[in-house]
Amino acid sequence: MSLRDSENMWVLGGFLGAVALIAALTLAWVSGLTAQPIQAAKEQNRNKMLRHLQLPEFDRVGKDVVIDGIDFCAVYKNDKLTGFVGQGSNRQGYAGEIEAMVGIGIDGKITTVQILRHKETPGLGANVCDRKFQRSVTNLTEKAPEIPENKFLDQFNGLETDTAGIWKISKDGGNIEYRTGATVSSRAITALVDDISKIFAANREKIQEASK
Amino acid sequence: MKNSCFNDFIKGIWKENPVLVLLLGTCPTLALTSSATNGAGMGLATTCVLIGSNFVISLIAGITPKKIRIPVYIVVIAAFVTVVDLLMQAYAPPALYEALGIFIPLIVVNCIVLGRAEAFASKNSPFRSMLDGFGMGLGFTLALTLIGVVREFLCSGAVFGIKMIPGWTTDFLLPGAAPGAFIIVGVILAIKNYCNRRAAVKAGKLYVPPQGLDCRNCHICSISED
Repeated sequence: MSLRDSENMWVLGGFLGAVALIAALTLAWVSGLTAQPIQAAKEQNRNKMLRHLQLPEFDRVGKDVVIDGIDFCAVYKNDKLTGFVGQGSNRQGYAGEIEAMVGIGIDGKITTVQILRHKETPGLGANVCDRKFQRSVTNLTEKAPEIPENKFLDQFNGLETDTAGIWKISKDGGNIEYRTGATVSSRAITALVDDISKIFAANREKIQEASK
Repeated sequence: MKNSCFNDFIKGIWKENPVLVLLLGTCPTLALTSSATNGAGMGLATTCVLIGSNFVISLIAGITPKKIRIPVYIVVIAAFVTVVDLLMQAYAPPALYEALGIFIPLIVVNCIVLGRAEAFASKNSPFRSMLDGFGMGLGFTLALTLIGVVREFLCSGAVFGIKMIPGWTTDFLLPGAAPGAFIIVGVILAIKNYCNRRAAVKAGKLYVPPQGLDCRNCHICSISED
């Protein structure tokens, strides 16, 4: 009886096992091959975001310090402190998790807010998350700015982290103008930035100490 | 057929287009065509998997016991999908991977891939199977890109992220959501069928859909029979 028409359970099991083993070995090989490029791509993405926080120039990023689920680090230029970065996420978005990175100057003021990850509705909630330079037929050759503007996110620029803890969107009686059609997303981002700023203001010395 | 190898390749693009004629893979078609870029990316990823899986499956089809061929094919397809997933994580632009990330593992259960393995690759030579996979993948990519272009344009007046009508500021949300995708796919199908029928009438014949479409010739239905 040929292998193709075999009905012997051991033959069938053995064949399937052999195929799975070959597949597993191939995957292990590819996984080993791509482990480094994947790590590098992640690192590069994070570094690119760090460069887009309008922080003063820096050449070294300190160790990560995690406080209450928020990831903080300090940045240095020639071993002199030039600013801080806070990175965290919450699940209050319209479609789940939103992850943000906040740049904080040594004066305690927010420099820029960047949204790293979100799944908000395109055209509605996504409008308050994305910093995207809108290409159109009239500006095809124009160079895109490094940090495209976003009217909602830019409201946080220059806010003192010391005053955090009470930031809310105007609909809830706060200081941040929300965007119609993106109330839930605006609320989520405001809560997240508020959280990061509050924790930063309360633990500034600790972060500075630990993130050498 | 004048040139059967060429026919293996070209049939996937128009005559047996997986999305517009065979109506396979509707889930990614509706979920991933909100923009032209996403549609093209998903199509290309699926093409890579199709070529690879069709090639390997046609190689091992001759020795694979009939009783367990489906699990064996799925293992092969899953392995290729994981390889594509890892390669995209390493080398694709982060924004593209972010958009397609959760859909890549779903290529495993995309019925186009298993359908081609069962209906074509298991009966034909490795080279012809690769051509079939490439053609089907290309047809899938073109269809997804076409739907993506239409949806993105109707939604925000942009194509591949470039605004075609300056001053279009408010998004029209229906085409961007799944119900709008259904409507647009339906309209495209109607146009395609109309074209086919007109061509048949002009040639003085009755329009006959491809054989693979006929349920009596469908191999997937008879999977459980042996």
